[in-house]
Amino acid sequence: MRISITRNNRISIASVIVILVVWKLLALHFHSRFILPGPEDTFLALCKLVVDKGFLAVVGTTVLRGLIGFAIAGVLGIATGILAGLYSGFNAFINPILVIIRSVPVIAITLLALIWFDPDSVPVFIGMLTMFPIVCTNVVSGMKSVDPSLVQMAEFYRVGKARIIRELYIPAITPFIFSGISSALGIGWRAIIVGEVLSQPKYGIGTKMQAAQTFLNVDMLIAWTLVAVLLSYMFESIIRAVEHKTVKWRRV
Amino acid sequence: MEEGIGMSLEIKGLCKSFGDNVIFSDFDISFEEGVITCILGPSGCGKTTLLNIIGGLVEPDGGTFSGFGGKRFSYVFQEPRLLPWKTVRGNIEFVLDPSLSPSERTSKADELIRRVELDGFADHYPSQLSGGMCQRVSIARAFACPSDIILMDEPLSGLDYALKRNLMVWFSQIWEKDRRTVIFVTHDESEARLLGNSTYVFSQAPVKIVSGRIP
Repeated sequence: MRISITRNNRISIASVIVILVVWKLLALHFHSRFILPGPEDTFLALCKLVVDKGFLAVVGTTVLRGLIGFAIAGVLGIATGILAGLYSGFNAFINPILVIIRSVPVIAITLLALIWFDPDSVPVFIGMLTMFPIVCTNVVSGMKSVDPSLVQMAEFYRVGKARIIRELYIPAITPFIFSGISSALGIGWRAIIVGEVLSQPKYGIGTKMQAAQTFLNVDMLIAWTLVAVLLSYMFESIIRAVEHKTVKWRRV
Repeated sequence: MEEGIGMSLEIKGLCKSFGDNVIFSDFDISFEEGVITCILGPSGCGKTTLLNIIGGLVEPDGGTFSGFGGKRFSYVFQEPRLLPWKTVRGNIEFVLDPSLSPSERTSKADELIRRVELDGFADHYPSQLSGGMCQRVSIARAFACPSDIILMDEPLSGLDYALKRNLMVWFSQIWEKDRRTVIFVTHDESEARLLGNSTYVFSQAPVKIVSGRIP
């Protein structure tokens, strides 16, 4: 096992090196920091950006927007998914709504949100709307996978509905909730940053990206992109760690 | 069918069909309270359907039931039906009266775990137990529930002979302690002979009682 992890790690490192080499070759080819700065210039820009005193406010604000949007989408998505799993009528009601939310282009929602909300709330709204159907759909599939014989057992023993939901359905769908949250966050971050680019709140990674693009600070633009990638990766790791702790019964 | 004294649970004129498949047609049966009644019969004859009708899981097409009103049931299913994310203790606590305090629930669950001789396994998950141990937890759960009647649907099928025999002896011992009414369905004659205070032998569907109340 250890050997294979080490081998896979080496392959992953090799993949990153390939990206850096291709990047460097392209930078040499274009030979212009206004089109594509090299990895070393971008790294310097990243260092400059991280030590800047406004960095934490910018990143913190984007993270806060992400967390608010995600919390609303998570609670709504899980609750709606459970109800849709329990009651087929509600499922039939919610299905077209989910299909519509999923198929409307993010940009269309963003343009409308720009009319409806203040710049600080636009990214939250877009993030929420992008994440909600993903969480909800995963929870519905989870509900469908719950073993009906366990539900029959619980009902036979006259266990109350609230306890059946809390102690039977929710643990059974936990792996689905986590996979929903994980895919939702991946897409949600991108949507929130698109929202920030277009709504231009005072603080936000998207706002900074837009400013960098306006002034052709391509190194800064890529540096902020790297920050966004790292944030997404960090949250993905946190979710994996929480999942690992929560579903310990699966590992025994 | 011989009518005995102390028969207090009676079903008369039971009818049940699934489509064209008639399982019960004007069928009568009675059970004595406080004893283990075994129902023996070929697979698929309608034994489980009868248990499910008694337990309220299946609606009968017709028939009158006397003595069952207000009774509470426990069910030991063919497969243990344990919640995989709950420990042995958690699975037993799941069916306990929710008005009990957490400490009362734990002590009640632990007492049953001792009775089914699973001391030391209270914090184990079902995936860490053997099939026989899981079925013992399922039986402990049935005794934990404050029920009047325990319905058992071939709980020992799928276990090897030695384990089955041990479980039967062990089951009679726990049952002796509170002598609840048990209706035990099986297709294995040795189980019926060992466990049953009385036994009904069913024919193929539509069910007739071939012989009844063998001591």
